[in-house]
Amino acid sequence: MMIRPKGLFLVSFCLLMSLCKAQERPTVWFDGLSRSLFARDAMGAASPVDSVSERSTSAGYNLLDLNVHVNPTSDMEVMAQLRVRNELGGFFGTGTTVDVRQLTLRGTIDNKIRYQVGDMFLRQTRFTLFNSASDAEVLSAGFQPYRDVIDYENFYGDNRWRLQGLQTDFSLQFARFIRTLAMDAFITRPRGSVLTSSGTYLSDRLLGGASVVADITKQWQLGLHHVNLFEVPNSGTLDVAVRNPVHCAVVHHQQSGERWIHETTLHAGTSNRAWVFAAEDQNDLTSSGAFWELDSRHESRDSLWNWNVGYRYVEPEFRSAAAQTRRLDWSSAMQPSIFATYTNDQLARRLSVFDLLVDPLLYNQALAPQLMQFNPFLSNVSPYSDATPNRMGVFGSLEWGGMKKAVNAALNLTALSEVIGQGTENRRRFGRAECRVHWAAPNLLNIEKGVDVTFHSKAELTRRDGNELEELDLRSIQSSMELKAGLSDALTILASASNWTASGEEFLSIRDAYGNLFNFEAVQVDRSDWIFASGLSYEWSKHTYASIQYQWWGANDRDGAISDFQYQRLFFILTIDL
Amino acid sequence: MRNRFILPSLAVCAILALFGCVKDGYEGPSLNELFGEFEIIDSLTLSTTSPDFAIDETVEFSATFNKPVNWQLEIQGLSSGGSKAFSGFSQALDDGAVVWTGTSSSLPFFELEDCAVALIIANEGVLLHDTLSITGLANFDGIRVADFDAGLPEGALVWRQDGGNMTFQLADDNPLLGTGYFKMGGKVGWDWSLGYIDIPVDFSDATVTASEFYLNLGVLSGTVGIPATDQFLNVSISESDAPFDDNQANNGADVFGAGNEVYRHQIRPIDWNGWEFITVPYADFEVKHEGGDNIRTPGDITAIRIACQACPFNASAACPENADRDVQTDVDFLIFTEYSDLFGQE
Repeated sequence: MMIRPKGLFLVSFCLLMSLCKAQERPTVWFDGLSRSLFARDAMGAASPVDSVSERSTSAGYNLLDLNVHVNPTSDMEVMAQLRVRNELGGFFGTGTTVDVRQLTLRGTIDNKIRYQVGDMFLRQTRFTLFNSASDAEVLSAGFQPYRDVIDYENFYGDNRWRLQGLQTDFSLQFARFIRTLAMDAFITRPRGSVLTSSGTYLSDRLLGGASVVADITKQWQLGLHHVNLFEVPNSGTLDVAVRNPVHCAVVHHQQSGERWIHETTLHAGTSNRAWVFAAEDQNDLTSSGAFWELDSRHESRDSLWNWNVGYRYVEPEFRSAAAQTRRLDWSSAMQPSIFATYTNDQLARRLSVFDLLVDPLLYNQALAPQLMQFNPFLSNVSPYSDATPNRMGVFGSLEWGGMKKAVNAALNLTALSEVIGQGTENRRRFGRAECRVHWAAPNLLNIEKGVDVTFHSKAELTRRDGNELEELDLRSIQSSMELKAGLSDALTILASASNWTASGEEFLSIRDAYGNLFNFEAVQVDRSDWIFASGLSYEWSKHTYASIQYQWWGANDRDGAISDFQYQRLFFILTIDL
Repeated sequence: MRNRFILPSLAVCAILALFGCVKDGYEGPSLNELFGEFEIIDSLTLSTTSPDFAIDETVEFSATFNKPVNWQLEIQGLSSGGSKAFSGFSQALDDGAVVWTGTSSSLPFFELEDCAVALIIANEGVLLHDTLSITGLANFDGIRVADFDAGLPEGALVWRQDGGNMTFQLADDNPLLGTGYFKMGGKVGWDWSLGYIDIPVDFSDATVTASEFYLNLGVLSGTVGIPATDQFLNVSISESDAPFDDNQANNGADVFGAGNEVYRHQIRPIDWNGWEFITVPYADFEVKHEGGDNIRTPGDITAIRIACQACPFNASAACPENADRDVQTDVDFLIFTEYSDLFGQE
């Protein structure tokens, strides 16, 4: 049994603080989550000849995350999340771990100022501090149990980054000039000093920030946001430290009419990223950039229609570590956790979309000051979400929820281009169309509890004109369809099919340690990943359910340069929200 | 009301649009250069083809291309098989960017021999050749503690058990570098420890931190038969300022005993055949005895112990096969380097 007493200091501090004030009897209460997961993987019939690897493998675990909440006073709470995890096949302590997964102290001072210390989940704007969904998660109809696991294990909730530090916020109300003023400030440490394999110590990396949001009138709101990712040079042995302050102003206007509610939001800001060297004879590397976005949203009073249109401009030099850090970092050595090699030649199997949808260990939780590498097979238009640098263009969406809310259809369109060309004066042009339709058919096929049909598709196009070296044409389409038929109020039978296809060519940017673009890697993409799944699900509530599925998945390389593969999985999960 | 809102919005958009224009030029290197036709402007040249590294001569390589490329420069000893490699991405090898001081990237080390030089630009299918002849061996930068070419280091103490086939002596039949090395091995069934060599040192000139201070040591195994199960070296470093060997009654030096500031690193297991070269930063040593400030300080090092240990076949049920195997953990060329390990030197 392995016990990791993380944050003992924090616990001691919290308990001491609570004892100092605890004149009244403390309240203790519990919640949490329990999960049992089992997966048995096997080679598919169409897999290439492989007598070296095992034909099938199975793994699973049981875990309990017990959240202990202690309220020493009515305005203070200490929360510790303890995890007990037992790998399948582990008995009498073997393979069992006990871990402190979260520790937080939160409360209010005089019922006016809120604070929290320890683990926290922070978000600001999409350009300053924001945890965008990964390319693979965007399209995962039928894979909600897996997605729940990935989000939960990596603390991805509500587009927030999990950080450790100190945060406080409060709001003021005024009688004249402005109605309310809310302020929020935090200082966190995304990375402590780390000893690397080369024997050097990386410096402490801190993230601080503040927000001031004022409701000026009922219609107008003004917000000012600031974050700064920076390193403390004397906490490590490297002679360079990064500074990345980002400023953002948000003006929001809301107007309600008889039939429509109109909202217009303007984001504008600047960033500066500097690598500061200790040596006096070495010049600092600095880049500054700006962005702005105007978004106009309109929603009908009856919620039947919803549409928006906007324009976004992000300069090539705009760098915002806390908004541009990706959940999937393709520059790191990501390996599949199952069937990592295949064929009799023991080729390293490349990651398929199935791996990305099911393996929480592939995902990143650490903020990085450099742009992470992305995979154009999955996403090439906005790999760093709305904060993607070197993009300008229009975007819009139209959503309709009709037939007494039985149908929900949405269409998102984006047309962007580069602000400056990469490697050539010709600029890339990007297009993206995303369509999502959900139909809750109450009496289809005489099934008593009705049928839910979900269709989701996303197509991307990247083009660049020029000579034969500069010309680009990359197309991808990702489609997913899910059918759910209710056999009773809680029991559902489901089937889904998903396909990811891309073909064309692209140049990946190769950057040095300071983010300078110094080379390009030409990549040819011509592949297709697919997943079919069917199973049963029993749902007691939204977060308490059991699901058993059989899944067939694989990948095809159309040019035949890489061997195709095909696998199957039997999957069971029981999740209980305590 | 709506006009009051729309007009200012349009004005703001117009102002912002002024700052939202496309930019001239392009980011990064030119694609036409990178992926265009490759040309060699200046072919591979060497500053000297008969370097005498013993007198600190170096070889400077230069070449110029018409565009940045990924290149690899390899030097291969035609007699020893030693090799040295440099790599990079640039448009030229110039301005002293690639300078060779006679070191190697891995074992074996270079001898006085002819070497083949190859500059490989793999993406362009280009290979440039040249040759050179080493007339003097490299002086490695660092603090050389023991090379065993002229006997044991001054003041060194050797202690060993009374086991079977015990070596713990100088030899010259298979040195890693130079003419001699130190054999450490034998057969002891009742104890993990077979013996050790203690060497007094003075590192007071060292100013780097522990993470930048590297121990480098050649270790020979497997030439007298199958390596014994779980044989290893226990390297201890003492920062004690006590006298090295005042007490003549005990085995070995005094500064490694309890109460002295001692750090330890195990090279474990030693299961290879032939020479291997081990490099480890001092920061990776663990505390063995808490006799000081527990801060690894290279400048305070006063003594080094290299201890030979192995699973005892009588005292442990884990390794009965060791009754038929001799332990062999011979050592050569103990040198401490600053900033990088020995193979990281140019």
